[in-house]
Amino acid sequence: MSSKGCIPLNDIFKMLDECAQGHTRKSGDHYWIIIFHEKIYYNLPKGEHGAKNPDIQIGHVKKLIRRLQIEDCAKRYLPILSN
Amino acid sequence: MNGYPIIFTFNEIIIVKKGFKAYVSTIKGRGQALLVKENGKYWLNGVQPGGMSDGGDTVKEALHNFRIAFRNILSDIEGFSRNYPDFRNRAASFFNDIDEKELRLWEEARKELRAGKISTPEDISILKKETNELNSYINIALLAEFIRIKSYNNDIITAEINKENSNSQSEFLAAA
Repeated sequence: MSSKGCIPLNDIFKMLDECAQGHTRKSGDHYWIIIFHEKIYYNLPKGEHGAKNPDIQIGHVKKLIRRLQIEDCAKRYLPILSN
Repeated sequence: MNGYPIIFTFNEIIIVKKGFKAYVSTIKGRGQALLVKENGKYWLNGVQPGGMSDGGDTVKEALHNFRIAFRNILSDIEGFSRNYPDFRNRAASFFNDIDEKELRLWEEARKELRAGKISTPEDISILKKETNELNSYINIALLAEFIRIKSYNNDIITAEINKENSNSQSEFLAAA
C-alpha cells in the first residue's frame, strides 16, 4: 500500500524494467542512480535504512521519466503519473 | 505557468578517499532549477544539473532538501570514483548534464516574470531577486592532498579533515 502522492520503489523498478529495457541502476550510499541511453537520474531515494520497498515521492518519478524520455510508457504503466 | 526560475550557488567541500590517499576538493559554482508546485508540494527540478530534483511541503523545505540532495549526489559520485581525476570528471559530467526541456521552461518562466505576466508568489519572496544574466558554471579545485595514516582502529588524518564538511554553503536566488 502506497501513501498519497508516493509510489513504492519496487513498482518504479518494474516500470523501468518495462519502459527502459537495458537500463542500469547503481546503488550509492544515498541514492539509486538510473542510467538509460546516456540519460542519468542521480537521486532516486533509497528510503530509510533497511526499508525494502520505500514509498518514493511522485515528484522524483516524474522527473525521472522525463529525464529518461520514457513518459508515454511510464504513464501507461503507472497511471498515477498522469495526474 | 510552468514554474519559477531559481538560481542557486554552491560551495562544497568533498573529501575523496581512495586507498592511502585523501583529496580535499572544493566544488563551487552556480546552477539553475525550476520550482513548481504539484500535488500540494513544492518541487525543485534541476535544469543544470538536469539529472536531479527534490521537494518539500514548503518552499523553504524544498530548497533545503534540494541542497542536501546536491551534496549527497556528490558524495555518491565520490563513492563510485576510481581516483581523484575520475571524481572530477564524474562531478563535472553530473553538473554539466543540462535538461534542455527544463531549460526552455526556465527561460519562458523568466520571460513571463519580466513581462509581468506572472508575479513571484509570496512564499518565494524570501529569496533575493537576481536580474542579471548569469551563466551556470562549476569549478572543482584540489585544496589539499593527504596520505591517510591509520592507527589501530581510527583513520587519524581523515578524522581531522572531516571537520571541514561543515563548511558546506549555498544560496538560492529568485531569477527575475
